[in-house]
Amino acid sequence: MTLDDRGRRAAQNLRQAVDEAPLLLMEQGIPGGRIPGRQSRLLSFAGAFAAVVLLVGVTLVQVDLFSPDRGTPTTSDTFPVNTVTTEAVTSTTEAPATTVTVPPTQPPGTTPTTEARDDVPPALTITYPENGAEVNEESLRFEGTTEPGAVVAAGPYAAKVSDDGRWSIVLLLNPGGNLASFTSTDAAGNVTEASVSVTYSAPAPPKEEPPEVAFTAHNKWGSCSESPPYDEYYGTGKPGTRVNIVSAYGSGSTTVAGSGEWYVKAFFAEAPPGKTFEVKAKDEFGNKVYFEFTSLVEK
Amino acid sequence: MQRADRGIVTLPERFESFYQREFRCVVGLAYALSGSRWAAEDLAQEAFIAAHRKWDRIGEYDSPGAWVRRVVANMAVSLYRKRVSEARAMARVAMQRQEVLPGLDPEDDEFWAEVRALPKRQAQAIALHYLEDRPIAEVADILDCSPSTAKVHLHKGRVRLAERLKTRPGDGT
Repeated sequence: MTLDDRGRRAAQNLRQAVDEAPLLLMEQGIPGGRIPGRQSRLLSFAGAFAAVVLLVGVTLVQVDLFSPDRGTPTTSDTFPVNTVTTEAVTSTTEAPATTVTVPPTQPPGTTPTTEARDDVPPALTITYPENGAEVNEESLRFEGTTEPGAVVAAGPYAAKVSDDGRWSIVLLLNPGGNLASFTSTDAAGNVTEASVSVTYSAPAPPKEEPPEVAFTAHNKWGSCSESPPYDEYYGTGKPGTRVNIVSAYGSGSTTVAGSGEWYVKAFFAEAPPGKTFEVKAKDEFGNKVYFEFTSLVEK
Repeated sequence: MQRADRGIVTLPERFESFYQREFRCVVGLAYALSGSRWAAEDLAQEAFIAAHRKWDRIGEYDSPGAWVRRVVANMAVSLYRKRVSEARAMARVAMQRQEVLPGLDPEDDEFWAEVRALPKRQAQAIALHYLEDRPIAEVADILDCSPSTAKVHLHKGRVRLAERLKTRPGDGT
């Protein structure tokens, strides 16, 4: 078996392992208690992951908090709307408390049995943020408590639930009013819903960008017999952005002028005499142009 | 924002579809280069979150996927080297824990371990070549180097890998 055969097989098996992996299971619970350093970082990563995942379809419902009829959420163009009972929404807006608990809903299709069964709905509280809170960050970690062992979800995405019932999940907010709805489902299938409204004050839009100028780069010499050796580079780019000249033996940097033009003289003091090497001119956006340079300085 | 390209007006891709299409591939790349399934997901998440924050700009790139892969490839290699040094330190106090990639057989595990043991650029070029079957130009774009440089990294990496695995390089296609 050649290296290529083995490499292809290893790649195929690795891809298959990733494809079959339930990546969303990152949102499983973590051990309860205090979360020291490393675990805290893990939580942060996974929470951030939830923020990205939730871009795809979140259970956040954008509502006009200043509308008289705050119990009727308006749908967002961006995110699919989760089913939210009017009761839950109304309760959220009327209650001064930060959390709302709605009586459990019986799962459809369940049949009565003579065995003792758990009809007690799991408790579900939202401890952060407070109802009606205003935030300036697009992503927000929602926290709360529930019955240990219950599954807390925001739409299709599960929150982290620790052994003692504390849960958290990061959601992305829409600018303006948001209604975040959560469900807690215990092992017996009892479901409790809770919602909280949050207003996200998005930062002011950025200043108008200067006109776009395509990135170009040219060099003047390509070689140099003076010491230290140098070359001159020039071109066009987006005004105010940086242009870097990079090589193994020297570099240079400049800012594109308001006219969209740039110029920089880069010295290659460490260039071995007679050796031709690669020089790269690149801007902040990943555009790049390659050149060659040869030092003709005599030893 | 719109972008004109050879007379064709195209719209930047939405982040959501970009994420859905690329996430698993990027996890795979991080997996191969970091050697840790757990870390691979975190690395990919971090890269995608960074991309999301700058999506107005990155979404305009010809290949946002190359940007994310570049970030992940660099972070994964750095993380792997850090983990190796940590593991060595742990070994000194007899507490080393050998992490095995879940779901991979020992031969594949050995292959990726040898890839990770290559110099950084060679490891990245090899992973992109085998894992994503990318042509040299795209590998160069991701590694932020010229195609000729990428070709050298790939060639040297394959030769060294073949030596370590005691096999022939193959046809290189």
